[in-house]
Amino acid sequence: MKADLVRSASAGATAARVLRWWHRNFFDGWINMLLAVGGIWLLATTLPGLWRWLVTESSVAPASYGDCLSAGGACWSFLQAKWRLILFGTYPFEEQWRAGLSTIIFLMAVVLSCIPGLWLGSTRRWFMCALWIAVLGTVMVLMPGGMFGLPRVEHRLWAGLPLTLGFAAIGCCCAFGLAILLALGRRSDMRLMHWLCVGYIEFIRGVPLISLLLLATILFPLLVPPEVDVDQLLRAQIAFVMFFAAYLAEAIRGGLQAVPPGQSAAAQAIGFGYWRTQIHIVLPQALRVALPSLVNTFIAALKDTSLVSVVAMMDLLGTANAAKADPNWWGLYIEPYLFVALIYFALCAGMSWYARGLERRLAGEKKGTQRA
Amino acid sequence: MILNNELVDASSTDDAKPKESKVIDAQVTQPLNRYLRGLTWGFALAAAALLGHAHAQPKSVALDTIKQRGNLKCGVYENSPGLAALNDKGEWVGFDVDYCRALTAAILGDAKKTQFVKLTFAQSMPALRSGEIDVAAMAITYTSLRDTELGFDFVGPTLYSGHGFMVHKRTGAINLSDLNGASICVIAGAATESLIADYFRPRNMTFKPVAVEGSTQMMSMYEDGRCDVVTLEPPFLAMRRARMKAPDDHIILNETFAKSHMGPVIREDDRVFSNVARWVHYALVTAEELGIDASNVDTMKESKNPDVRRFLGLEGGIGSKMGLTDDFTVNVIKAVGNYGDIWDRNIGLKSPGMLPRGMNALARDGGLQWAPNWR
Repeated sequence: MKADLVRSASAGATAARVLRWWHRNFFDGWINMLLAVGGIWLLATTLPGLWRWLVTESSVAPASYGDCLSAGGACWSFLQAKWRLILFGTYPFEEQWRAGLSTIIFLMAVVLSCIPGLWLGSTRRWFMCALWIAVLGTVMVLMPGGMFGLPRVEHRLWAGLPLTLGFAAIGCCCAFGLAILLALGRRSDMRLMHWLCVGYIEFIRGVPLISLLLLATILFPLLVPPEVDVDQLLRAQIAFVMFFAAYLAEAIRGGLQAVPPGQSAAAQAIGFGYWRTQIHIVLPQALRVALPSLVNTFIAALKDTSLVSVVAMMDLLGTANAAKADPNWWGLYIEPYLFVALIYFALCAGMSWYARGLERRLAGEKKGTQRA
Repeated sequence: MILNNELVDASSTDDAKPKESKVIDAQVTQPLNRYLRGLTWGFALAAAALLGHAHAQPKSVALDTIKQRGNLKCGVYENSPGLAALNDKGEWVGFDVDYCRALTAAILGDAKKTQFVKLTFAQSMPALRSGEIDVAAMAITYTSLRDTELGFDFVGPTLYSGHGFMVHKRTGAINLSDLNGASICVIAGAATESLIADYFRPRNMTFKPVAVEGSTQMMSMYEDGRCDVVTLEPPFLAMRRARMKAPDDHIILNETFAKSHMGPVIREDDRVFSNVARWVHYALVTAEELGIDASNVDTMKESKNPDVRRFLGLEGGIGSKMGLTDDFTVNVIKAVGNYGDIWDRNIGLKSPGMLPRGMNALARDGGLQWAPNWR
């Protein structure tokens, strides 16, 4: 009896807490009330339709195009037939396990590298370097083949997710290195160096990425003699690196400007040269400040890889477009787009989630050092 | 011996002369004197032939480059159902794709050595000119300016058609004259827009062009109602309408306007390669005329019909005079079948498109596809 009373009292208290929470968060003032009611109405009208499209009226293999049309919902059998095309594109069908394995190994190495603890201490650092060399070596054997009995697969056949990931990763790494040099050059006292860097950055920022890509793929072969045959993938990659280096350089310059001049003066006073000052004193602080805008540019770069589809390369979006052009499934396009949108979302959301954590951690470190 | 000489002599006065002059064309670029020199060289070579040195393999930079490189670069549309698209396994399939496979099989003996480069229509001609591709198999309409001023050669036409209009039923249009003031989706850079303008202007009609990048985008914009009218070759319109959400809401007007005759395009700076490209198409048509396909080509080699024997390279040495092997037609047919097979498989009755042959039937069936004689 007493226990019942207590339970009902606590239940009452819980109910009151829930009500209070609702009141505080959704029905606090008439604007919030309006927004809350509107939001609930929006969900109530769209969710059942979405559920029907995604689940109850959808069709799975072996449904054909006609079955999908009569069912009215999502045509998952279309994706079941096309997922390998969307992920790997023109990479030879029998060899696609190589592209898949490369992607998985690469992604796992990236995830491992994101754990800060694994970079502490020189043994672990050496281990991580060895791991990366092993991963890149494996990928560079698996993807092109031509050794260890693996048939050769030319660059032009690389497509889909491995192309998008590789293009973005190599592009961002090279662009980041170039960007640091450009940012330092722009702040350099050497006039020639300064103006060269300013000219480069301003020129590239004044040109859309798509025109650089077209320049590299269509105009370049017209300018050089026909014997010079630079790989299409490489040409597009260079254009991509050139473009994002300019943007990253500006983000890093912003960070550099936030470092108080006293820091480098102090470093020089204890006998550090220019490069030691930059590497040990200035850049670590500058990159910490520039992190949010760097991540912003990296995410933009990942998504901008889809522009390479205009220069005859088939990235993830290109293969989704290819999937919808099959005459057998003609007229369906939501499913492949949804599929690649989810992949892009997972990658971008992962990047920004990790960067937020990193920012918090670095901010904590900074506070700690200041207090000390 | 006498008989032999007579044979060679006869062929040199009738057929060999124009052929030999073409060989010279590849080397002498000045158009003046070309004919005269060709004639002289023709006689000289005929004399050489009389002495027993009959076949010199024609020289061709383009053919040599392709053979040296070991692949043929073929420009195709990225996602054009029926013409060029990727199948579930990531392999190229389509009407244009098969022409390129045939051309590769003719030159290199192995259709797998085709390297496909996906392009948009606007990229096709710059890519061809820069040597990025050897052939653009992109159903490009044959026009005089493209042939002369732009310096391209056309194969075929491999696909004959006219332009037709599809309209939303809600517009109430039944005839072409009802289309005054309509907004029409057209592919940027294609010939369609000026064709429509030429049709509308003398009739004092106007239209609003809505430029799009490709045919898939064009159809989705039309279906969304962003333009009232869409124009394509009627068979393609029918294919597209069959796959719309509400096919009954759209009418394909009975009247057509303009002619369109499409085919693969090559640079015209190499006569020998031009000949090869053209005769590969003729080989596909001839194979259909003679009833040869991939399954019976080996048994047809036993045929006593001189037409078949010449065509399959068992007699006459036609292939080596083009700079190919004599049996290149066998490789072509083994790779892709004949013209009818290519049609049926990609856009005809064995495909989702289910297009009838119509104008593209063989000449003997009342269509326009024919091939010159193989002799």
